[in-house]
Amino acid sequence: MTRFFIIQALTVCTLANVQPILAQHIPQDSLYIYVQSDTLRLDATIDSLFSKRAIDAIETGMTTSIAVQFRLRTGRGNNLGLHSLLRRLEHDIWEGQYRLIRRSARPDTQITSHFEDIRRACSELQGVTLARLPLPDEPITLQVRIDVNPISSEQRERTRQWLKIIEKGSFLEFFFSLDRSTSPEWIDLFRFRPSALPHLLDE
Amino acid sequence: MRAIPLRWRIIAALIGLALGTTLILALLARHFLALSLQTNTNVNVEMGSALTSALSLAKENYDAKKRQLQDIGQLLSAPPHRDLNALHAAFANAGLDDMTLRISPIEQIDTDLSQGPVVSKVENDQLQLVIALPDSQQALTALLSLGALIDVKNAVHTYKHIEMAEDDLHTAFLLAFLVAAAGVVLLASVTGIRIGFGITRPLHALLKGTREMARDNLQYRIPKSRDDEIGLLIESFNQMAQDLVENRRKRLEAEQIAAWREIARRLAHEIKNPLTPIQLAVQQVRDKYPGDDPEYQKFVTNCTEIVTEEVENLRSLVQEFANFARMPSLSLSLSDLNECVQNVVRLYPDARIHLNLEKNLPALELDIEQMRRVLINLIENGLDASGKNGEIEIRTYTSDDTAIISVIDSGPGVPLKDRARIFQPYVSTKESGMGLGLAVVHNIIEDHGGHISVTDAPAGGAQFDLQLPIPNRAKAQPEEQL
Repeated sequence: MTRFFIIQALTVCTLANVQPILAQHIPQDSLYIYVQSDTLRLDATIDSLFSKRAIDAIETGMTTSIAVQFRLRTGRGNNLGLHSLLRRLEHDIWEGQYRLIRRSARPDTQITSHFEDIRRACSELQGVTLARLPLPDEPITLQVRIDVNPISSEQRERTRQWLKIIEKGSFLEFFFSLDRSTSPEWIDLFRFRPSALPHLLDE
Repeated sequence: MRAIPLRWRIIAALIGLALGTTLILALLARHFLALSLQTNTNVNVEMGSALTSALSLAKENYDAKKRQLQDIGQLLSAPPHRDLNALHAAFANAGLDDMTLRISPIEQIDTDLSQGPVVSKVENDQLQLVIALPDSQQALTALLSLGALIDVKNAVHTYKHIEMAEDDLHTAFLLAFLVAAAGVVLLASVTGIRIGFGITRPLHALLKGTREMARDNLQYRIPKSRDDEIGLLIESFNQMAQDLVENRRKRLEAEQIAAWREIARRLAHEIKNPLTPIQLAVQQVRDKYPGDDPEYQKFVTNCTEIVTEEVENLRSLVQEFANFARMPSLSLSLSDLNECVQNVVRLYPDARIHLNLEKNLPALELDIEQMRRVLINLIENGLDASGKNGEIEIRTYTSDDTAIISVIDSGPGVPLKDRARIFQPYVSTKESGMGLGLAVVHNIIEDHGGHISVTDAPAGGAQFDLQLPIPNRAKAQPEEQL
């Protein structure tokens, strides 16, 4: 009997802990971390930022949020810096235009009729500020977290209205939620010592 | 190999039943879920394809509306000048009935109209046409709602969202089922344990009880904690134990009485035999005295009288012993206890005896002669205890299946310490007497299937309660009479 309950509990835990396999990744050969003036910067290209499903959703006009976050951590787990690139992509299917809005202290908007421009703008990262120097001269890990979410809060509400079975407080809600409660995992990208990084001269 | 205890077999059976049922349900649920998914997938493919087509059509419709607005814009920006009604009519003729039209001074318009009519998509999901009206300084702004097209777009988005969440939703259904099934099994396990223990715990108690009985511990009782069949079983066990105690008491009493009777019989035999020769010998001593000494003759005569009197006392004592030893077996017949009481009371015309007899007392199985003996004994005892001005009350009444006769005197009562042994032979609280009277009374009442007890009367004095069983046929009599 005890064994039965243990097996059931393990099954539930295993199923509950299934994580989505992330398609996006940053190839090591596209990654370049360097020091410019008093700033640690990064150039990188994200491969397969938009999955087929995400592209499909964008093409139907679903407003998509794109978040790329970098953080630096020491071996003892201290955070040395966090940099977030947050964007919102709107596709006006009637006019065939894409609007990429960067959410920052100084927002800017890129409008284009070609998705390839959007892909390039989101995937090819140039001079991303990771941290201000000085940094402790010890092994530091660069971690990345990428999230492309084609579901806006308005869309979630619309879907919730559609799926009446998953109302707030229902039994099924214990196991399923339209609201994303967990963020993607942080992935180790690169390990380095600040003193070993190349220095780029100011232009 | 030792058999598995009943408790665990019951628990295992209930859990097995729950697991079996859950397993069958799980298989059925899995089958229906697979069937549902298969159907759903087929529907999804068709639905996805239909919605994609609908979106394409919506886009084409949007482009067509836009061209239509551009065409009508070109038309209306050329002379003649039209008023608002004429403009509405023109849009209606072009099949655009649900337009919102507004004419405003041209300087208030932000749009550059130098290149002719301008069609653009504006906020709130509307298409906007702006033209400069000919021969006037006014501009027309016409708004066309895209409501239906937006609905199509939203439906596609919701479908896409559900499609993305489909796998998680299926996993959620499976998890929900597993949790519900685990709950059912857990509930069945708890219920099984409760039922198993509920049944076997009293059985264990009964087992312990029988072992205690086997060890001659007849005072052992099982606590009754329930009112169902098991509770009745426990009650029966306790009753059986009580009956065993009672039977043992009666058997011991019977053995005691038999022993006392044997002693009484031997005493009577051994004492009675020499009494007659002693009496004859003494009489001969008195009768055959040859002398004429009056003093001595008087002395002999006195001694002879004393011996004769004591011999008589001994004879009466022997008779009492003999009676006790030779108590005849009962000759029972349905009799009226009240009548028996009244007949006995007539023997004591000078005594202050009050009767309080129940009129409808049923007939009892009595040996009338023995019962008279009982009553006489009790009345004699009562009169002795009550003294010269004492009173006696005799009551008869019924309680459940028992007829009760109470003899209450106004004496000092029976001390608590003597009550347990007062019905044993040769125990007496009086200075005179052999202590056989109450022993005889006790035997007679027990032989009638009854019971005798002594308590303090509410008004003082002793109260002897004689409980006699009411026979079934006597109870049936009133119904037969009806």
